[in-house]
Formats: sequence, C-alpha cells, structure tokens
Amino acid sequence: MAKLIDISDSEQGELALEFAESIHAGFPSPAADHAGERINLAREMTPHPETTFYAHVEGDSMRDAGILDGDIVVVDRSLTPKNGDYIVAYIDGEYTLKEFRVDPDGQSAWLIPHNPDFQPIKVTAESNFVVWGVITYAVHKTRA
Amino acid sequence: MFALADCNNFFVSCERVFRPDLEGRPVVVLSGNDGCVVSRSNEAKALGIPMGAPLYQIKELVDRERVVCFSSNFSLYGDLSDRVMSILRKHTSRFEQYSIDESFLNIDHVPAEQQKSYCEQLVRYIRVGVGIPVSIGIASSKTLAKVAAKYAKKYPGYHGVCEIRTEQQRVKALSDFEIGDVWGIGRKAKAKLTAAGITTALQFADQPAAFARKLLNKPGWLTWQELRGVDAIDITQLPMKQSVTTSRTFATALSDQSLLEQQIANFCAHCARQLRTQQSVAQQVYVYAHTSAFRTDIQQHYLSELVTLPVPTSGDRELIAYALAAFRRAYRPGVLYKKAGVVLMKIIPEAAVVPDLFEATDRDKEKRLQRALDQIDDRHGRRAIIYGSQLLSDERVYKTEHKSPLYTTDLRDIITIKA
Repeated sequence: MAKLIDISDSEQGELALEFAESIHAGFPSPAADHAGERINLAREMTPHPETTFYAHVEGDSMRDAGILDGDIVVVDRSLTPKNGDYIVAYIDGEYTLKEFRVDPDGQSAWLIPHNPDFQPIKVTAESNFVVWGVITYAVHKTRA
Repeated sequence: MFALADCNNFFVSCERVFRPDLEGRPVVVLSGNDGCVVSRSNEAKALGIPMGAPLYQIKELVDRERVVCFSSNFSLYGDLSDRVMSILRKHTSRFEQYSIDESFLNIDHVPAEQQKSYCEQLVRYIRVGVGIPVSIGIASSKTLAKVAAKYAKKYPGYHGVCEIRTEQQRVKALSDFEIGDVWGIGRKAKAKLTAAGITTALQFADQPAAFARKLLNKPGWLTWQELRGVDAIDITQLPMKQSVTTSRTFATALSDQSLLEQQIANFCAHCARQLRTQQSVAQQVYVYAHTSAFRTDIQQHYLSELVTLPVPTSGDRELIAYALAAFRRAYRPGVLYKKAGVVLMKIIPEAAVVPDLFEATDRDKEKRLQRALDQIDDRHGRRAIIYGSQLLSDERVYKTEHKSPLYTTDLRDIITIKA
C-alpha cells in the first residue's frame, strides 16, 4: 500500500510517483470519468497566491467588524487600498489592522478601529507609515 | 530581445519584506554558519562591507554602525523567489530561471516600443505585491541584458528598467563598464585582458574576433559576440533529468538519529554523484522519511523538508550539510522511520552557474577535491572515502543565531498584527 502525501503543491508533483509503490489492476471505478476536483478553500481564498500572506490577529480593536483576537487573516499585497478596506499598516515599528479611510481633501488618511474603546489614528505625511497589504478574509476558529 | 530580471540584494530584500523598519538601514545576511556576508543592503555596501567578508573581520564596524545581521533563512528566500519567478513566468512568453534571484525572459509578445514600460509595470507589481525590488535589463543578447540590468540597479532614475536597444546605447553602456563585471569574465580572464591593456567592456568588444578566440578560447569568444549584440549563449542547452532520487525502505524501522543521518548522507552522496556525471547542479534538496503505513499501532510521522541552496551545487560536502540540517529540523525522536530518501531538484547545467558569486567558498578548490574523491572511489570501488557526516554537530552544519522567522512556510511563524 502506498503512503498518502499531499501533492497540492504542483512543484512537488513529480514526487508523487515515488510513493505509488503498487497499483492493483482491478475493476476500474465507474466514477473515475466523473471525478471533479475537490473544493480547495485555500485556493479560493487566494486568487493571487504570489502576493498573498497570512497574519495572526492580536487584540480587540476590530471586534465589531468581526475580526477577533486570535483570528488568522489573509493579506493580499497586490491590491490597492480603497476607502473602507481593512488593511495591515506598518506604523511606528508595529503592524496594525484597521479600516482605511482617506480624507476627501486627500491630505490625510485615517486608521479606524471597529470598537468604541479605541480611537482612530490620523496618518499624515510625517507619520512613519506604510500600507503593508489589504485584508481579504478573516478566519475564525469556532471550536476550541 | 532578452530581458534579465535580477532581484536587488535579494536575501536582504527578503528580510526587509517583513521588517519595513529596516528600509534605509545597513543590513547584511550571513552564510550558513553565520560566517561570511552573502548579501548586503546598499547602506551596508556604502559602509565598505565587502561581499564574502567574515563576520569577525567586520565585527567592530557592525557594532559601531549598528548593522543588522541575519542568518540565512533559505526557506524564506526560496519561497519569495518562487513568488517572484512565478509572476515573471506568467507575464513573459519564455522564461528561464537562472538562479534563486535571476531569470532570463523573452518579452517578444510585447511591441518593441512598449517593452520598457511593460517591464516597469512588472517591476512595480513585484515591488508592491511581493515586496522585493527587481531590476530588469533589456537587450538583444543575454550578456548585454545583464549589463543593462546593472545600470538599472545602479541608477534610481531608471525606475528599475534599462534598455540597450540602439548602437549608441550599446557603445555608451559598454564604455563605462568594467571588463571584470561582464557576465562570463572570471578572475582569470580579467587578468589576461588587463595584461593586454583592456579594462572596459567596449575595448574588448572592439577587438577582432581572432583576438577574443585566441586569448580566451570559446567561452570568451561567445561573450565577445554577445557584447556586440549577437545572441550566442544558450543556457538551456541539453535536456537533462529534472530530479535525481535515492531512497530506501529499511529492513527494520529506524529511530536512532545518527543512523538515520548516515543514511541521508549516503543517499545524498549517491544522488550528487549522478549529478556530476551529467555535469549538472541542483538548486534544491528535498529530504523525506516516514513511518510504515501498516503500523497503525505506532506514532505516524511524515517528515519532509525542502531546502533551496544559496548556490546550485553538485558537491557532496555542501549537499550533505544542507540535507542533514533539513533532516534535523524535522526529525522527531522516538518515531520509527521505515523509509527515507533524498531528492535533488531544479537541476540545471553546471555551465549555467554564475562563478565567483560567493567568494567565501573556493569553488574551484571544492571541485578539485570532489574530483579527487571520485577518482579514489572509482579505483577502490564505491565509497572508499566518505564524509564523517554523523560526527558533524548541528552547530557546525548550521549555526543560525540571527535567523528570522519562517514567515511564509510555517503557520506558527506568520507575522502578528495588532488590532
């Protein structure tokens, strides 16, 4: 019997043969011709795999937006942040997750928390600030 | 036209993706044993830190200037390289990866007058999307494309892309280009050319063909043609095996670490020998070991580690060191491994490797040593001389005091963001 390995990574697909140690020639499965590819949620969530990264969330400032302490978020760096996007910003030596807003005059941007206990952060030209990426999904585990 | 895409200060740039605070600061990445500098930020170069410098020699400078030092994190560099290369592959009509941070592209699906802006767009996308700065050189030969890429890297005004399209551009670019910096001109060739009074690429290209051929033989002659704009070097060459595998199923399952390591080292040497017979080198080493699927009564484990090598190689010593370091990272004591194996992957012709990239390792010397060992093996039958791999301590194979997290290859190591 062959050992199962995950060959979802096509780069390593060639290795799969290594483990096909014995294949028994029995009655062919009638389902073989109808085999669809199994749903791969990770792939659905990452249309741009080259520019997608993951991050842990720590803190409650985005609680009311449904992003909770301990969640994992999917970050796509290739997206240009729009008003209302949730973004990962690097500000004063720290990564932070907030909603992104630009003032109508274009002079300053805001990082807006979704929790009344936290204050919005104003970003000006003087701030040491970069948009690191745009959040596309938050993954929340529901069972301990 | 060819385009050469080259990631700037690649290993340092990889570290900066997850440490935006290091932009503008001097940063270096050290070789496998934290021994020598293998990648430098522009700020580190400006401080006069030479490539290949041993850490102990520059210790004072590092402390005084607060240079940030990283141990090599090849899982990270390999993954970010794959991301950059994948983007380049998707957007070009032909793609040949040349090393972990360089690839040759064919962009003839884009009209000539738009090729420059097309490449500028690629550079921007990779810079923003992956976080890696890339320079692209465009020219009618690979060697000229490499020259152009160096200009693109050196002068920010190019926005990452430089073209050598007209004769005027070619003459101007080569007249300012030191002969020793030309792709394919190694130390020996440089010495010969300097002795003949040739110091720039243009002086060399302006010599008669017979001069190049006589002084530097065929490789030099090919370079001479390329500098004149003729596409003469084919890095793909012959088709060759894509990977080489050696694996064994053990009669009795093994859990002893040193016994397993001896096996891994042997598999590695066996694969490497095959590589050398076809004059090729591997860019990646894949190590695996697993328990028997029949033994439902014992703890199951599937060990697999993929390592991207800093410089492609076919040498036993290096391959074994990396394979064992990888194995040690994943090995679980007490698990009964029934089968193990080593796969050398991403195989390319030896001729396609850039020489002299990391001066720290004397590759010629390594090669001579390897040849001598192979000859002894041949005379006395296989494996007359072996490396004492089981005696190497982890420390000696892989000292990594300043290693950054596995940001993209281990879920436990992804960045944390404050919300």
